Amino acid sequence: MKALLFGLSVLLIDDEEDFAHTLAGRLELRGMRVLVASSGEEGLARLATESFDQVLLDMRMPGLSGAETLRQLRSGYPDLPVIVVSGHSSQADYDMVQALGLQGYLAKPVDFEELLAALAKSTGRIGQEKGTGQ
Amino acid sequence: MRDVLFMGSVLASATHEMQNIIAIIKESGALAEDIIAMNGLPRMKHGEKIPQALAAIREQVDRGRRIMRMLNAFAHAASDFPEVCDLARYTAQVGVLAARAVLIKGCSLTSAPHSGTLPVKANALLLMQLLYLAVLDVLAAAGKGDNIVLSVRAAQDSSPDSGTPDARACVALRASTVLPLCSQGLTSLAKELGADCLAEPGAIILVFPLPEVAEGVRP
Repeated sequence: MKALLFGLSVLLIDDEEDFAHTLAGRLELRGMRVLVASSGEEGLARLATESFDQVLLDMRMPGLSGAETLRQLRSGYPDLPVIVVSGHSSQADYDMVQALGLQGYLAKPVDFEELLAALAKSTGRIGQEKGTGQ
Repeated sequence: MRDVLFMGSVLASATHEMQNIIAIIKESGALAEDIIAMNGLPRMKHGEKIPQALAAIREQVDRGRRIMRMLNAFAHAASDFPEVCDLARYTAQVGVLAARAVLIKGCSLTSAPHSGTLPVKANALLLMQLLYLAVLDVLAAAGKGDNIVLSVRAAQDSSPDSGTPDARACVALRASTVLPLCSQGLTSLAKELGADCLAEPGAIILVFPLPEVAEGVRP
């Protein structure tokens, strides 16, 4: 899995900075490039100047909500894969993100192996290489 | 109803925060484990105790995560009103949420695995209340050391009127040595939900009619 995801660029949008930076550290140990944005506004601003292979998005954030950020991502970057990573799991949130079309919906605290698998699947890297599991 | 919605809303918000806190503890411990796995243990006095401490963090985080997920779902049950509820999912949730009551009684509770969904027509909050009351009724008859096995299954019985098969969903709470009784609260709530509540030696069994159309169940 490590080799599959090596070099992947990830934009992690989450206002819980301790969580975001620690998760980013773990992904970076596996060869990914991770940029942390602490709000939806900052995330969208980053996307205007840099390209990423994948977005990881929290739902409940102050300012621009995860839902609104997701709508703008879908509108401005329709091909950019998005995985929602959220501690909130209401039926309404779940229905909304399903309607907008997502590559994954993971509940916090995240099962890390599940996240790596979701990243590989989301970015189309799964199945490209065998025998590289970690 | 307004009180229930208020309590559900506050609880959902608080459990969301708790999940963030647990996530930070989990990832911090896991990051330390990653670094040790890559570089080996730091050479320091008592350094060999670090993996043990990190393993304890991991185990307790998993425990907290299970409870918090169920508590968050419980909070949302106050405001989510699906037409049908997945009996298997809510039974598993109640099994986790009742863990403390089971522990205090000196008993244990095992949830038998069930694959797939079992949709029943019920208000989610009332359904969870019914399942919780059933656990308490079995506990009331249980002694220290008893293990309660919580299981769900679909069943088909022939209707005495038409002879055609009736589809039903059953929840069984079994503890071989107990002689449980269905309390008044359990019986009346079961009736409100259209379910049957049966007590027999070693078990309380709740029987629900299955809706004809099983739509709207959250996966």
